[in-house]
Amino acid sequence: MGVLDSSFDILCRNGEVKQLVSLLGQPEESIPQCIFISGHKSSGKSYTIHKVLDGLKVHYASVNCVEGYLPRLIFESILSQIKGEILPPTSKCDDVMEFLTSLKVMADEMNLHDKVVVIVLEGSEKLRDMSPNLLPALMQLQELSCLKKVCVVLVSDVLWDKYIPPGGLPPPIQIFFQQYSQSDILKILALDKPKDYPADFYSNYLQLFVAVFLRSCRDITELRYKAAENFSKYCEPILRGEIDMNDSGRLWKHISPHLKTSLQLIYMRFETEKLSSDMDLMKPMDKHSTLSSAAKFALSFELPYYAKYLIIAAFLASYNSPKEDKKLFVKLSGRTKKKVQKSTKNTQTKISSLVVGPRQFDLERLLAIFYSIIEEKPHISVNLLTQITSLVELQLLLKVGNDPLETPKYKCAVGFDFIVIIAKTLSFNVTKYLVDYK
Amino acid sequence: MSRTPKKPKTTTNVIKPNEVLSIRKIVKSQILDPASNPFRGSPKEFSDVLYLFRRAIENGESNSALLIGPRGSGKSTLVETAIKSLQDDCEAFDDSVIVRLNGYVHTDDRLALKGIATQLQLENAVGDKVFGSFAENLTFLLQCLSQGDREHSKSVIFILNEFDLFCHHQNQTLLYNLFDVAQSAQAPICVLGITCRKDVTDLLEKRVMSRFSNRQIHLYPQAFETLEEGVRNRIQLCINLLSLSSKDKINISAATVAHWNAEVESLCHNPTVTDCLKQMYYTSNCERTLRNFLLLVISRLDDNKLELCPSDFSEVSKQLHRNLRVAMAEGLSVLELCLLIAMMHQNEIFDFAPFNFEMVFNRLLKFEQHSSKTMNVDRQVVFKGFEHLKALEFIKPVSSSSQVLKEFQMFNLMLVTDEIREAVNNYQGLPTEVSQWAFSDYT
Ligand SMILES: Nc1ncnc2c1ncn2[C@@H]1O[C@H](COP(=O)(O)OP(=O)(O)OP(=O)(O)O)[C@@H](O)[C@H]1O
Ligand SMILES: Nc1ncnc2c1ncn2[C@@H]1O[C@H](COP(=O)(O)OP(=O)(O)O)[C@@H](O)[C@H]1O
Ligand SMILES: [Mg+2]
Ligand SMILES: [Mg+2]
Repeated sequence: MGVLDSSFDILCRNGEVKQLVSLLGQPEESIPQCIFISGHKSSGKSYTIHKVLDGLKVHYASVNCVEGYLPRLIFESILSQIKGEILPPTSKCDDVMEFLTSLKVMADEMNLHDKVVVIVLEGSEKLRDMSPNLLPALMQLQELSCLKKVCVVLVSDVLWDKYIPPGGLPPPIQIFFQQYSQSDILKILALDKPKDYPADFYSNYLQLFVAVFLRSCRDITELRYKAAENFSKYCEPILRGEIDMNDSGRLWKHISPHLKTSLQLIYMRFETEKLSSDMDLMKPMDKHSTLSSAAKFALSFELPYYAKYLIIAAFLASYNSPKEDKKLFVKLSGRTKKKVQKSTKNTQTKISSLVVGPRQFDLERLLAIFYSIIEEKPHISVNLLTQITSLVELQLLLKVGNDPLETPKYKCAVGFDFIVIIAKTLSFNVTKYLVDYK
Repeated sequence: MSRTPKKPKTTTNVIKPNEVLSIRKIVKSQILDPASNPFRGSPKEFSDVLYLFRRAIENGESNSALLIGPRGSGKSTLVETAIKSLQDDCEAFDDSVIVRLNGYVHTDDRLALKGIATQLQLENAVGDKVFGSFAENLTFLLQCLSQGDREHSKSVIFILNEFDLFCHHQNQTLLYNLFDVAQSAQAPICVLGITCRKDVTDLLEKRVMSRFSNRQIHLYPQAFETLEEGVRNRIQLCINLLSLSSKDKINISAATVAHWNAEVESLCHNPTVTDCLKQMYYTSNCERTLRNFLLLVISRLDDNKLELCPSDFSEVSKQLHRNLRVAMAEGLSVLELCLLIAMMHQNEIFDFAPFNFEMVFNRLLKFEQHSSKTMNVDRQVVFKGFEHLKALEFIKPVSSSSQVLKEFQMFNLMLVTDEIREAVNNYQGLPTEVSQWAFSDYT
């Protein structure tokens, strides 16, 4: 078995590999009904089980239980993978019973009764929300199908204790994938080293990279993506001949701000490139401010003038009570305004609406606020309603309820950070109009 | 990867590398194969079921009963063992048919009927026939069996596993008809329902209940006077499952068998091992848990490791008893762990009232303002961390309303303070400020 271990080419998972091989590796031994693999996202669960099964050369099928999937799609995918060819369209498999029948027929045809057959179900936590018999039936497939060596491997990011329904389930064999340590992560990231750079140059870079990223994210997939993205930035000055390859101090100075902005966009792969070019344009103006990701998000929309005021109005309508509208928007002396603010400060039990969430408002109120805050009043012909519709489409504004008889109600769907940035581009002071702000 | 045992004993090389694989194979089959695990204990319940079946097969008597017991108490094992023993010593067995239905598979009566037809091998007889009612269809199937020899129609034993699920079928049509046939003895059938629900008869409709014989057989895991006795019984079971019987000798020399069995006996009385078994028994008396445990232990043998030692038991025990919620929390990023701490304090202050992202974020910001090193608390990044905790089901939404914005959806924390603090304690390289925050009384 020692030979097998090394041929799997899996790093840092020796214990888990050994356990899987010891359970599934000997075709003439009995096989457990169900194995449950859990661990964090990207902790190598799928990677490991697939490599191990490939290495053991057993028959297996692997299906990702995507949300809202029909059981039929799961069954048909399993069957066609075991068979090794696409099923004829006539062979329908709608329920567990038909699945068991087809499986038995297939086992007879392919002589699988005493061969190990493994069914890997990724994202198996989704099975809980499909028909209630599905998970129990799959977990007892050996008992139900009379295939003595079929094993269902459930893979999940969620722990087993979240699976158990009121009726109970037979306990599976559990294998937990412990999160990678920092040195494990460095080893795995080092696999992606571009060919034309020396190993310690790349590992120096990874040290810097990990120092910035690891506190916020330990997801290998995301880290790999980010490491590759930033490495080209890291090398730019070297390629341009500005910094020597061995001058790690200057390289660090060069890459550090890039890493920090890149971190803020973690898990958000959209338009990173576009945003960073916007950033470059802004650089001469204020060098030292690194924009928050909310800011970049806000800027990425390039909203038209009226839409900007509309979204601000929506925000104000969401976070101020209608009672205060008059005081705020009809010109009043600064004195009463201060009073309003004071009284809210004193009553400590009252939780700021900025924490509780937006209240809903109707169109009437939105437009009233809109007209009172906008500088250049729109011409009467401007169709503000289409602007509102497009804000809803962009999911910056949320429509509440679908009753066609009632007047539509809305909620603002963006946070304070977003609004502040939008307001800045208009030189508009939002905080002045927010009762609950500080 | 050759590993030499720590203390080379004189007996070490009794077991040969090729023999160890055979041992592993036999023991695994003893642990996992239903065929090598006939029913033990509860003689009264066993003979009740056996008698019921025998009367149906030999005398063509109709009957119905329920076998009730908690999960893993051996219900399926009992039934299969009873069938096996009839198969061996009852001549009429070959003239009867066993139909196995399962609530997880036959989820409605149409499927159940199809399953019955298949198992009675009457699919062709049914063909394209159209039946007026369910009862007609079932009667047709049962009549087919009596054709040919009218005097001697085949007995059918219906075994309905996960019986409680059949009670949810529309109008309980299948149950009504089966019990009706059994009660009125229209055809020789025996209906045995298996379930883990004690209150199962409450689920039956009146008209169904009145046709059921109301014979209930209760199966409980063996009860023991004292805990010690229970543990002793566990140890014995453990020895039985791991020992080789003399008939298994294929490929294994008699000396090896004797040696192995002696080792198993002494291992299972080793204090380290008994401690593991005791701890397990205290948390669950389900036999499946013990079997899973032993499977992992025996799987550790291979041609480099020829014998078990107490540490194999204790290591597997440690693996199985680990609090995985804590282990999972240890795998979070520092930021995500900080979110958990913020939630924990939020709960302390607001007495476990549900919270939303904004409240937790505010608490995190307060911590960050007081801490000397600035953390990255960019809102979007923190929100991603929050969503991650949600995906792990560490926090659970109070309601599943989609009308509320994500930031304001209310959640409850599914971890307890001790678990979070343990994860903080075990976390490698956590900034001291964070762990001080976790152990501070509030804020
Ligand atoms: N009295 C017993 N005799 C023999 N084996 C037993 C006994 N009790 C439990 N077992 C063992 O425990 C395991 C579970 O038994 P079984 O599948 O029969 O339980 P069950 O009551 O049918 O559970 P479920 O309600 O989940 O179907 C099997 O491996 C079986 O060998
Ligand atoms: N131990 C490892 N050795 C090599 N690559 C790994 C390892 N663990 C993870 N990876 C890489 O990380 C990626 C994500 O792992 P994956 O198996 O998809 O995670 P999971 O299924 O746990 O979410 C894999 O595609 C693989 O390239
Ligand atoms: Mg995966
Ligand atoms: Mg059972």
